[in-house]
Amino acid sequence: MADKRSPDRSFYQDLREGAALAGEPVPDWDDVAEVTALLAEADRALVPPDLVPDLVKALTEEGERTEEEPSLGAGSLLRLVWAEARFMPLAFFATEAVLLAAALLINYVLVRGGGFSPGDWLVGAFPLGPGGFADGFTLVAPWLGAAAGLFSLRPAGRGAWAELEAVSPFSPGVRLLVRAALATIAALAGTVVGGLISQNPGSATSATLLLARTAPLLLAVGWALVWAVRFGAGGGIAASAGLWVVLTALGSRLGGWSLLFVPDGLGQAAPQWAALAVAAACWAGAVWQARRLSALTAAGGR
Amino acid sequence: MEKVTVSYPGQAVAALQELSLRISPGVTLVKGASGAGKSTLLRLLAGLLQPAEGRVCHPWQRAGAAFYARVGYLPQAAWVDQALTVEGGMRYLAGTRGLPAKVVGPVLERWELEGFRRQRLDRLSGGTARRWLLAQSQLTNPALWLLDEPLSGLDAAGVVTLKRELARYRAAAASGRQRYAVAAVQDDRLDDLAVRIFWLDRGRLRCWM
Repeated sequence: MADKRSPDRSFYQDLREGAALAGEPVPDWDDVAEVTALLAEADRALVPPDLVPDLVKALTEEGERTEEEPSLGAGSLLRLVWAEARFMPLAFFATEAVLLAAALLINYVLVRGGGFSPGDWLVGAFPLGPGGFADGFTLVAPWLGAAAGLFSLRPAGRGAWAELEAVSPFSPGVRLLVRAALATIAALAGTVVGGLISQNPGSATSATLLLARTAPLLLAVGWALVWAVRFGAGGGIAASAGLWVVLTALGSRLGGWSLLFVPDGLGQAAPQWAALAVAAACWAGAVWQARRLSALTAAGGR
Repeated sequence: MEKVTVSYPGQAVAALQELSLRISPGVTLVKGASGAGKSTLLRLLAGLLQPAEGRVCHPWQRAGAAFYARVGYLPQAAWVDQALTVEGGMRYLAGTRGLPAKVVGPVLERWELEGFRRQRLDRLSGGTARRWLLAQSQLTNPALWLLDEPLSGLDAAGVVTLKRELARYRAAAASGRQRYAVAAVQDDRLDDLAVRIFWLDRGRLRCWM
């Protein structure tokens, strides 16, 4: 039986011939025997039988861990909506409550006041057109909407907090849309509930009243948003004030085209339909521009 | 990060200038004097800034949602101007990151903030506020944990927790997982945990070890 530590004669012969052809020194038999013995030892080093399965398992697990992409499903979006709804600032609700109380008071005066015209105390002449009438909720709608729009951008300028909010898997546009939608829903809900408990002046149908109250509100939200996203809270406030001046002070000159004029029917509500179209454009513009929002602009500095 | 340049509006000198570096799994420290660009580097890694030139690559190819779901970020701020409570603020941030409320409890516990649950954030002491900020940065169990001056204003209990958490990143990286912690620091208290240290000087990489 051949010694495993000794090289095979033919192998040694091949080495000799190869060395001679290459012009190298012929290897010594003992050196070759030693290397052969070392190789034999290495052959005997057992590979654990479970090495390959273990390696496959480890690589698979690591691969799974690496490829495990966190996904944002409907559940994540609902959590965002819930968080925004739950932590909506009390100051927003207080502002809305004050405005709705003012709307209720105006309607009370309009119904019971006997000939009282809100134009007496609003800027300029109140936009009462022929065949139309004033409504408290329509009057405060631009204010309700402006408040909703401006509160939707409340974290801007809050430094570190803005950065913490920005580290979110949701884009600034999505977060702004969720927040603005919630604020608008709250304002609309307040308007609807307030309308139910208020004696409504005039004789418009419920649908016409709802449209007359909703259109300026949605327009004001979108208007405030699109300007505030572009120029900050100050820009949003200035733009909202400008909108209100146009709607009220100049509204009377528009007669039946005034947005704060409650039409007799849906067919005559062209200004309201136009306002809804402009509002939709403003909302879309604000969400599109929100891509530009970054924590840097809020945090500033290095 | 390849040849990244970041400039702030109105500043003549770029905050980062053609900066190229590679961050390995584990704990990486970024050092440098004030204004060297450490915070800018972290904001860049957090995706809060976009480079004017160059590019930043992450181990996770897809940007957006999947990326932010892996990032935790501690800003340099000493506190937050918020009337929310410790727990409320944490729940809110969890929601904005699409996370369930159940992740909040363990994080508060880990950072020893359970006793402060009902305290307002704007009334916390400096050390506790920093612990809260560190805690929120771990809500996502981040694979990329970015810490801007984590030791600044941190109390003793917070330092212990921070070092323990950083050690976890080092251990995870040693076992082959892609877990990265990058901290901008001024002193050497975290040096023993670092796998690599970069020194920045006026927006440029001066040296590393």
